[in-house]
Amino acid sequence: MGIYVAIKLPLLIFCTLLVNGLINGLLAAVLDSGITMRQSLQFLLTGFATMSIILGALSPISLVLALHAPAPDADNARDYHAFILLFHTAVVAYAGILSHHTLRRFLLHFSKKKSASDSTFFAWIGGNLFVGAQLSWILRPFFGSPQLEVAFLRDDPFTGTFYETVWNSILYFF
Amino acid sequence: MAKASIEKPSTPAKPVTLIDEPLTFSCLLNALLKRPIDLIATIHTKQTLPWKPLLLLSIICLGIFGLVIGAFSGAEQLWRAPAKIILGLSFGALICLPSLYIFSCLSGIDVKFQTVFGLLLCAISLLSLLLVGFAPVVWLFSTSSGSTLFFGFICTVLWLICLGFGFKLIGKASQHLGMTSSLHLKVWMAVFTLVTLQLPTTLRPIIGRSDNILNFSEKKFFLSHWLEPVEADTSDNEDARDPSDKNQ
Repeated sequence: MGIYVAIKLPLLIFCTLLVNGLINGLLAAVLDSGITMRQSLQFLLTGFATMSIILGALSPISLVLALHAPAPDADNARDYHAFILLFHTAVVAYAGILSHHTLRRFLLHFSKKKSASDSTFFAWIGGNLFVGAQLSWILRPFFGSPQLEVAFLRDDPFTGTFYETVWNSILYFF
Repeated sequence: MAKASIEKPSTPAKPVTLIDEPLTFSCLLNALLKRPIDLIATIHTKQTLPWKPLLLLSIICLGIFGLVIGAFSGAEQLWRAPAKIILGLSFGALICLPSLYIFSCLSGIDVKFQTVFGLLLCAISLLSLLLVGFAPVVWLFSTSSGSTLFFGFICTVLWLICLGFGFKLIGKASQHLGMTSSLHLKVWMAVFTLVTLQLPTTLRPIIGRSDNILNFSEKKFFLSHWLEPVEADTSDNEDARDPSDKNQ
C-alpha cells in the first residue's frame, strides 16, 4: 500500500496541475494580476513542493504509527484505523495551509495589486480543490480500510464522481 | 432641490493605451487577456474592427469546448455538440446585438454600432477562451460521471463563470466609453444570460443522445427541462428508501 500511495500522491498533484494549469494561467491574466502562465505554474508547483516537504518531514511519525498498527482482524483495528485517518487528515490539512500561505506570499509579491492577488488566489484554490477532490476520488484508495483488500485503484475508478457520491449521501441522510 | 438621476461615471483604474501593433491573432489573444480595455479603446478610436481573427478565435475555442462536451456521450455528439454550441451562441449574440446597441445608447454611451459589435465580439471571444481553459476540467468529469444532470450542472456553472468575465469586460469597457448609468446594461446582461441558458434547451440534446439532431416539436422552458430529471431522481430515491408505500 505504501508503494501504491508513493506513486499516487505525486500523480495526484501533477494531474491536478495538468488539468488546471491552463485555466489557472488564464484566470491570473483576466483577473489583472500581471502573473504569466509560466509564473502561475511555478508558484503552484512551489506551493505543492512546500506541502511535500512538510509531509516528508512528518513521515517518520506516520511510519511509527503504521508500524504500531494492530492486525486487520484485531478487535481494536477499526479504532486505530480511525485514529490514523484523523491524524493524517490533520497533517495534510496543516501542510496544505502552510503551502497556501507560501502561495499567497508569492502572489502578493508579484501581483500588480492586492485585490488582484486575492482574487487570483481564491480562484486558484477553488479550482484546484474542485478538481483535486475528483482526482482523489478516481485515484482512491490512499488510506485503505481493514475490511478491504489492498489495491492500487478501486474497481471502475472512472465510475461516478466525488460530488455525486456526497450529494447522494446527503439525499439518503435526509 | 431635485435629486440627480444620472450616476456619475466612475473613473478608470488605469490610463488606457491604444494598441499600436497590428491586431493579429496572437496580438488579440494577448490583448483579450491582459489589455481588454485597451483593445476596445483601439477599436473605438481607430474605427477598426478585427472581426475575422476574433470570430475565428471564438469558433475554434467554442469548437474545442463543444468537442469535450460531446465526449460525454460520444458517437455523433462529437460533432453535433460543437456545431450546436457555435451556431447557438452565434444566433444568441446576433439576436441580442441590436438590444445591446440600444441599451448602450440609453446608458449614455455615444459610439457607433461597429464599436458595440466589436465589444460584444470581444466579450464572446474572451469567454470562449476561458471555456477552453476549463476544457480539461470538463473532460475529467465527462469521463467520470454518467449522470447527464450532474454533468449539465457542471457545464452550466462553468458557462456562467465565463459569461461573468465577459460581462465584466463589457461593464469596464462601457465605463471607459462614457457610460452614465449601468442599469440598462445590467438588464441587457440578464436578458443575454436567459437567452444563453434557453438556447441549449431549444437545441437539445447537447449532452445526451438522440436519434434526431434537434427537437423543435416539444417546446420547453429551460427551468422545467432541468427540473424534470431532478424530480424524477428524488422520487426514485424515495421509492428506493420505502418501496412498501407503492403497495398501499
